[in-house]
Amino acid sequence: MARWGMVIDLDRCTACQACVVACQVENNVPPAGSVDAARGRAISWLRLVPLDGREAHGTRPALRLVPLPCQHCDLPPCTPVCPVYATQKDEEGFVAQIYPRCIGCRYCTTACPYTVRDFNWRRPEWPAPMEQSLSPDVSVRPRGVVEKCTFCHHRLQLARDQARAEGRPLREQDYVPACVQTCPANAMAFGDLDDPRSTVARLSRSPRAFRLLEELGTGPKVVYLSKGEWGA
Amino acid sequence: MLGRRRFLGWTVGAAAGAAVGGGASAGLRALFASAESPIVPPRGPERVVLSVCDLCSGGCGVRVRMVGDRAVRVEGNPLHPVSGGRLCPRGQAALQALYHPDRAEGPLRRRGPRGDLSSFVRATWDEALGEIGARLAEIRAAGRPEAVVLMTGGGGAGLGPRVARRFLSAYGSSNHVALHRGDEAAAIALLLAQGVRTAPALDLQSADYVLSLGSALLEAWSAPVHATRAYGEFRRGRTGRRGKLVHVEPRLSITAVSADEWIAVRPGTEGVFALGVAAAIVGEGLHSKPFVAERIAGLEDERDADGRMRPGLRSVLAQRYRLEQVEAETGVPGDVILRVAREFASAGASLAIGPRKGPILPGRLFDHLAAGVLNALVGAVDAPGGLLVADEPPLPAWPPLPGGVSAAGRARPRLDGAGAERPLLASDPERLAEAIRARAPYRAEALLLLDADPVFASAAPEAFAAAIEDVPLVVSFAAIPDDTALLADWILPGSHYLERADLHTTPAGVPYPLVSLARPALPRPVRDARPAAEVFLELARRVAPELAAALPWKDLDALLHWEMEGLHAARRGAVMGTAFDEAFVRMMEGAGWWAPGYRTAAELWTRAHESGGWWDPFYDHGDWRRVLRTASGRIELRGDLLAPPPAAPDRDGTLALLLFEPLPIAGGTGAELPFLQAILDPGHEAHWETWAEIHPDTAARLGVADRDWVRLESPRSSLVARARVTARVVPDAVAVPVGLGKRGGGRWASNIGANPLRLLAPTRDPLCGLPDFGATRVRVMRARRPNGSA
Repeated sequence: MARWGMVIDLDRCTACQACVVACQVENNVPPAGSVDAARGRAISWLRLVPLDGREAHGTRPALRLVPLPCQHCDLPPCTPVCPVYATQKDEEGFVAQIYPRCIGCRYCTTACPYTVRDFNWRRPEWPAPMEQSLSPDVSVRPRGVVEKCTFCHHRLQLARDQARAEGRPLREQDYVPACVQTCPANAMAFGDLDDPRSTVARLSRSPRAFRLLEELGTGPKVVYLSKGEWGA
Repeated sequence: MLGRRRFLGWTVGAAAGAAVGGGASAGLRALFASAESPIVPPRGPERVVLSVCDLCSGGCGVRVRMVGDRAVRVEGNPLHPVSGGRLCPRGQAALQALYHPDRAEGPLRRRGPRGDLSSFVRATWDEALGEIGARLAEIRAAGRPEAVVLMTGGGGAGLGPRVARRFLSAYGSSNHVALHRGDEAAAIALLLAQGVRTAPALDLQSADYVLSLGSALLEAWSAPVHATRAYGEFRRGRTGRRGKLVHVEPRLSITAVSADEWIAVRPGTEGVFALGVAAAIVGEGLHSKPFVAERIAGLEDERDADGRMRPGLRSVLAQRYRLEQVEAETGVPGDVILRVAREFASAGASLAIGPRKGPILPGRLFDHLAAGVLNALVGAVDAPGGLLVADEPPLPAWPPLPGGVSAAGRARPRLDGAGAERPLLASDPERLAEAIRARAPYRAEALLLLDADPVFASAAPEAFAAAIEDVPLVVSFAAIPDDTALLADWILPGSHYLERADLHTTPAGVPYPLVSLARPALPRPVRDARPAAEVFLELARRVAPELAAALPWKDLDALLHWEMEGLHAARRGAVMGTAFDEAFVRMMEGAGWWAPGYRTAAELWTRAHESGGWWDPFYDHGDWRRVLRTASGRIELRGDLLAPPPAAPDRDGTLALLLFEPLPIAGGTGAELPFLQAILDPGHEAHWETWAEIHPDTAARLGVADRDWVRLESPRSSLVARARVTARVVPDAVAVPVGLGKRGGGRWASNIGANPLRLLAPTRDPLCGLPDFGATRVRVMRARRPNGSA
């Protein structure tokens, strides 16, 4: 069984946020207006966050902007708190959210140390004719549920179907999330962390590799590569 | 075991059953209303269509996923050499522009006062083109074709602007004015140094050391996806070789955040810093001596044709840019300048980049010339990892222009005086606004606005708003009515790129000639919109037979066939393909062979449409006759031009106004789309408003706290913005983004934020005459919150 994971090379990343918009378009995330945005109610499964809040005025920029999707932890803190089993880690390691089961208690948004879960405060709206662009591959979440990054799990289903139809095994490049696919700097890689020959496994062995809040024991499956002069 | 979770789950399920079953309260019914009518996007037969994004000038090839008649996804076309299968956030948001609820329903005619969308009523295309065509025919019949002005703005290098410009020339006017001059200063610098007037292309992926002089290399660059892809390779694409990026600017821009080193200079001293570096390189003898000896003119003092002494670069650097003087002017310690000079001269392939900030903000010519000096000193001209000069694709010539009244009209002086009063400029929109109001040298009788919103995105927005009232016929092609369209007489909505066939030529900044092809993805436009190119072909037919002869195509497909047949006859290049195909074509052409993969024009048509287009990936380094067209045949370094423009006086604690263009709203477009509004400044949650970055020391002096409202006042105008107290900007400056503060632009752009272009002093770059976007100083004070803000 594959252990799907992502590697984000901060030395390549330019903070352009193509990944952020690609995620929203791919996953039918509704656009927020200025009012909801001001209330902190805009939904975004992937954000750029300042990794180090300190800002320095000097010769070296201390500010780092880090793309932050769900880390799909091996030991996710968000799943045990769910009272209705609406979120759980499935056998392939995805931390999934089952919307019809979610009661909107938001225990999981509180438990997540990466703050990557969003609550639907209102029924999503696409002023006509914007609903025309909705993808048929991803369900539209109703009001009152929590939603989050799925690693574009629907793409795995489609890629598997395709591979099965062609009578061949799934290849590494068959399945990448929308954010990885669009990244202009090629800063994101995706694949099976347990396959030693995969790009992500090779990159995560780099001396530049680190994980966010690893000390909490969450076992994140998103690996970052630090900026810097050295390392492969 | 019955856990707490399962118990809660049951309880809620039971409550739901009870509520839906009957006797539900209004609140509960409302709660379940959303569950009763879920939004289920319909499925349908799927297909993929190749097209070209035109949300900026980058011209990325895209693949569109169609489900039935709906476009549900736009992704990069992996075979396209600009996008390489990738897209920027603007490109990703393309469907929000396609299905935008505030797109004009169809042609609109103004029936009431200017400035209000409710003054407009629907008209048919036949009425609109009949009336506008008749008016244009009248003006031309009266012998005044020069009185028609065409202004073009952003968007790609597609057929729309090309056909519109040809229409104008055939009609008999030379008044084509380009609103966006982001590439102009760099192009003029290249013209002065190399005799070629074009935006330089950067061979970033082969560079080892990049000195960015306040450039927006990783933001709103000419072709952002192309530049960002090259940056990724520059950093980590070559085993054992990592490019280093040093960024010089008074503000920690997004490009600076990615840099290895941010050198915070005083406002307006990037060029002085660069020449300090150049002085150190020449002083220590670190420049590339063979290259300088062979290719450069102007290093030493010389007598010109009139016998006057012209100072050479060496003496200008030695006298004007001594280390201690540069240190004092820029505020950068001398050892940093020396270290950068030694790194730049010894790093391998080094490249200096001038301060282009986006489609609106070109940077000063002085700073671009200073960057050019550095490149010339290390031989980074037409070399791998250096500055390249793009070649035009070999498209066929179009039918000749009519003579008679057309030729006479074209011979009249331009209204904006570009090329004459200001010889280095190709366009001068701000001067055009003055000329329209002065009705001199003649009256403007019609103004056609193609992707141009000068009432918002010029350096003189208010002058344009006034000037437009003096033009009897103003036609805007804006799909979503923008600020200028609201003042126009007609709005003829242009189609979205997914609604039309198109052909794009090489975007600025890409070194290879390429032709990208687009097929219409949607079977019919979402709104009653038409491609601008088709509208101009139709107008040509309506105005006069000789115009129709100059633009003889019945529709866009006929024009596309003409272009592709000419391209086939040129016998070079290849259809776009994989990295392997690219390497193969490059190898063959390098050895003098042509391996196109097509034989007939019909085959080229089919295969180019299947892959995304045609290109010629072979770059012939060292073709000096092509890239050096100066009188001397060398790179001309003009020591006499290397004096920085005088800085605006620092009166009573005013601050230098630093403008920047965030990629999502660069070029004055993008704020219409909510996904782009939401990502204006990465790392900050609060968006949807204009902010002003102020250094903590300055803020303390002004008594301003973070998130306070502040008023910025220039001699021209004032605006209110939210203060962001941050060390990301030097103490003597206030930084404000350009792109918000529209009146038009639909529900997500209208009345969001403020437009800092209104603050600009009417200062010109003394060397070339472009507006000096960096010369304004503003007074900053606390203010009350603006009306309607949260």
